[in-house]
Amino acid sequence: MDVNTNPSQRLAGRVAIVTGAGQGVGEGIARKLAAEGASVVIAARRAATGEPVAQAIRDFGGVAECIVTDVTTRASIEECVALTVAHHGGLDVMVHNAFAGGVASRLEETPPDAWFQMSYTSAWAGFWCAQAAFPHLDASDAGRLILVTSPSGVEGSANIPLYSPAKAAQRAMAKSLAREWGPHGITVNCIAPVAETPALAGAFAQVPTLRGAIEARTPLGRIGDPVSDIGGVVAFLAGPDAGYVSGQTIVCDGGSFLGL
Amino acid sequence: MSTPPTQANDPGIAGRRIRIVGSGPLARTFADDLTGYGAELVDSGPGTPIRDLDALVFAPWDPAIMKPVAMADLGDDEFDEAWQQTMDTAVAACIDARSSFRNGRGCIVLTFPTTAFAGGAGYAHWAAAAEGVHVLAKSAARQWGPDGIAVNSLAVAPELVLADPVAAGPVSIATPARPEASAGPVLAFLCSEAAHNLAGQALTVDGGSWM
Repeated sequence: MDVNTNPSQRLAGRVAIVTGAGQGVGEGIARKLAAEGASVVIAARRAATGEPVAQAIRDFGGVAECIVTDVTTRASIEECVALTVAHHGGLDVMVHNAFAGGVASRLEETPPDAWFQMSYTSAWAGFWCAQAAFPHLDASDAGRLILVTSPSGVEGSANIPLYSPAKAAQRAMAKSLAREWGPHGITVNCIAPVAETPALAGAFAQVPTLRGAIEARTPLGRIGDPVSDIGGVVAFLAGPDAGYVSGQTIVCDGGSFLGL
Repeated sequence: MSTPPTQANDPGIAGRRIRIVGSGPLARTFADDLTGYGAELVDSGPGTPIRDLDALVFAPWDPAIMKPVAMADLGDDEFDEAWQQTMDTAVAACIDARSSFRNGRGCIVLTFPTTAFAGGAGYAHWAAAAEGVHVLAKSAARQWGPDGIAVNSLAVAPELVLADPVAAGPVSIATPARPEASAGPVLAFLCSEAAHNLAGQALTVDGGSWM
């Protein structure tokens, strides 16, 4: 991952939580927010993945800690938020990125466990993250809730049919909360990224032609970098330049999906 | 209200066997509309799966339960009722219909309020469910289209299903085009053989508010 070595520090003094930040898109977002000056909590399911990310940010001169968080339980999310506020004095930016359970299958053969994992890591966790963060985002002078959805959450998927509605829920919740929390000065937005991640690498290993197919359909001809291509968009939404943007989804996929 | 079919407006669903999921005012209105066009409404009972089904209409939305709750006050039970139970019911209904269709061929129409598109203050839980159902139709259409199943969706005005559509906020900042529009004829079309020319489409019949 390419880390910006000349950050603008536009997020100095801000405190952010990024769920699923132990790898992939979440790691890229966390690294970018830290590079821009935010104190970042790496909310990862396992310390084995989250702590190295936090250490790498600290080695770079940033402020970060790992708080082990299971987003499929309300109590774990609430504890993460409480510890963040206790350790860093507040919470300005909540980014819910964690997701699990996507398994290619026929709709009628989707394993119930896979569906519930998708439902809980996406919709339920989005709900719990929003609710736990709300009083602190309200207390912030510029609270931000950012939910990570997917282009598939807009156009449906023949490969993982229930992945799409699970991700679609994020967009509708973001629009609803943009309306509800606007009077509190809180913005709520989504990003829909496509990036080089361990999950995508696993898919490439199973389907060797997949990388070429994605690159061929992408006008920019490449797959996004989690830090510079995805993290940068989140840093924009988290920062002062996006204070009048709410209820929106920014698709960060090199121009591949143009349906919004 | 349904319009008696004439040769000019007959959607061609007379005799088609249609299941409607839902028991609220929207489902009852749709039942009147479809039977007005001569469709036969069918349902399954314990141990008696439906045979020779032609179409499924998913319309569980009911103002009796679709009440606004601020995110700060939203309970797990309320989120479960709105999001999880709606999605579970929708998925199960689609799968059941697929196995009940006459010769494996049929139409699925998933309805939802345009709150899916526009969001609603106090309605994060129901908006999530509505958009989930909307996109489920797209996934199912992509996967089951080659099997001869036409999956589409029908978006209706929040005023038909939300307990407090004013609290949710306006769907659009623009003037509605045609407030007197009725969803019945469009639903009948989506249940007809002609709907096999569509896949994964959301037809919005809300009087031209959402565009």
